[in-house]
Amino acid sequence: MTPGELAHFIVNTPGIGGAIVLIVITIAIATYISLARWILKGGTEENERRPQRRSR
Amino acid sequence: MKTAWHPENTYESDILAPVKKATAVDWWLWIGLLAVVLAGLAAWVRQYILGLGVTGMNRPVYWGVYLTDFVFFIGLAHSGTFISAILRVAGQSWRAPLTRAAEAITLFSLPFGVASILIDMGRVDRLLNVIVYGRFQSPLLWDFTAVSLYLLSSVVFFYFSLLPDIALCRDRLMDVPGWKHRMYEILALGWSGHPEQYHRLEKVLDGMAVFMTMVVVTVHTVVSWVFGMTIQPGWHTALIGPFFLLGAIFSGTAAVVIVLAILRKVYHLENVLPVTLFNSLRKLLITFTLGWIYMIIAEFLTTFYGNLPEEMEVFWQKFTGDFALIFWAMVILVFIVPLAIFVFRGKNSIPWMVTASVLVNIGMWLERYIVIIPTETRPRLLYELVQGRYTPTWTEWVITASMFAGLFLLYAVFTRLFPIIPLWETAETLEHEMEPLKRRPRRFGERKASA
Repeated sequence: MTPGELAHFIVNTPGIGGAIVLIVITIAIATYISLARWILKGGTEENERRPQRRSR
Repeated sequence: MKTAWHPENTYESDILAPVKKATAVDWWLWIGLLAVVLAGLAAWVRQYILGLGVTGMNRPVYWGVYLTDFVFFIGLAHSGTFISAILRVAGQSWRAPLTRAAEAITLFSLPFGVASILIDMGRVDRLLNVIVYGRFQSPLLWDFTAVSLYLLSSVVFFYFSLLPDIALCRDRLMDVPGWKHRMYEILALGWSGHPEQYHRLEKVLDGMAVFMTMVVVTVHTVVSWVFGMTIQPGWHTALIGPFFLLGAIFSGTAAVVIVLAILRKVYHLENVLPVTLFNSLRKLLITFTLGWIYMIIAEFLTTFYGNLPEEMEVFWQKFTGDFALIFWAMVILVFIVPLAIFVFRGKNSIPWMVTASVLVNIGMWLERYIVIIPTETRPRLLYELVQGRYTPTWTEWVITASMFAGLFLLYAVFTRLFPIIPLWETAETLEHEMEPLKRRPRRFGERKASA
């Protein structure tokens, strides 16, 4: 399969577009959950005890 | 339970006052709005049972008021992102008191934008087919992706910036009903108010603001491409993306003016929302008004000089034909009257600003109508044979009214549950002690010493 054929396959095959949408949304949700956890962890004891990890 | 640290804000009691208790007037307003929402729901159920034949849509006018609503609501949703994200990126600190009121417009109008599409589909049970059979060559799928991501990101952006204030409600509002206090406890996610949390929150919001700016440009451009990627006269132009985007930010900012004026009056927030804020928005609105007329002239002059028969068919429909009344009403409502008001009357006058902003939003709804419908009545391939007609039916009007009522209802209820002015963000700008936040170290060693 040439790169052109692959691109054609991705763009034109039913279902692949929908899968791309789901992947994008899943990545976004995972990122936002991680960000929320990171914000809320700020200033907790765990962070205070391990300053050397933060400075890396 | 140990309470969190909260930055001091002189206007805290003013801002929290609406959250404490809903009045009898609120309840009557909510019941009235809910009645309209239910009427729309009933009309939609009837449409679902009987089919889209109950609307004015027909061959070749496949998109009508629902698509107009879709573009309008998505446009309205740009207000929050513009005020919050774009002005944040630009470092405009005066926007702080407006952010939540603007973001709430985004949050509550986006679902109705999505709902407009579902209503227009007729067979909403086939929604999953977009995923199962979706092909990425279709602009409709791009739209689905962009709008979904925008909705998700807007909710998160809004929630993150709300977190410290939810914690403040949790800690300060002890005399609210138990369910309300429990809601604050759950939604605050254990926010402790540590300076490092604020530091991280600001970092994330700054980063998200850049991302949101890109998303907002993408979303309305992609919305316009649903039209622009067809080769229909009036739609197939490279200008349609920027044109839609500018219109969206324009109507969104005008909506912010209306909302702020209502909040200021009803909740007595005159000290928190001074008239100078409206003056700042006025300058932006003057710029957008001139930008809008520039787009209109660029678009129509290019079409006129090209003089392609099928393009001119639609062109004259708008200027002198069946849609002339709506077209010229749009020009008067979006450009002529608002510009005169903004320039000559708007400064230091909130009533004039609100008047102009209401006209802008009515005009911008008409603009979306005038972009969509005339092209459909004169399709490219059959414009000499097909003379399409479209008259919206009562079903479409009732459903449209119910969506606007739903937007107002959600907004009104929200203002009674959460502070509509961001307490922690305005505290920064109100010359009060926020030393832990101000002492932002540049290096990690310094950060440890200051914390």
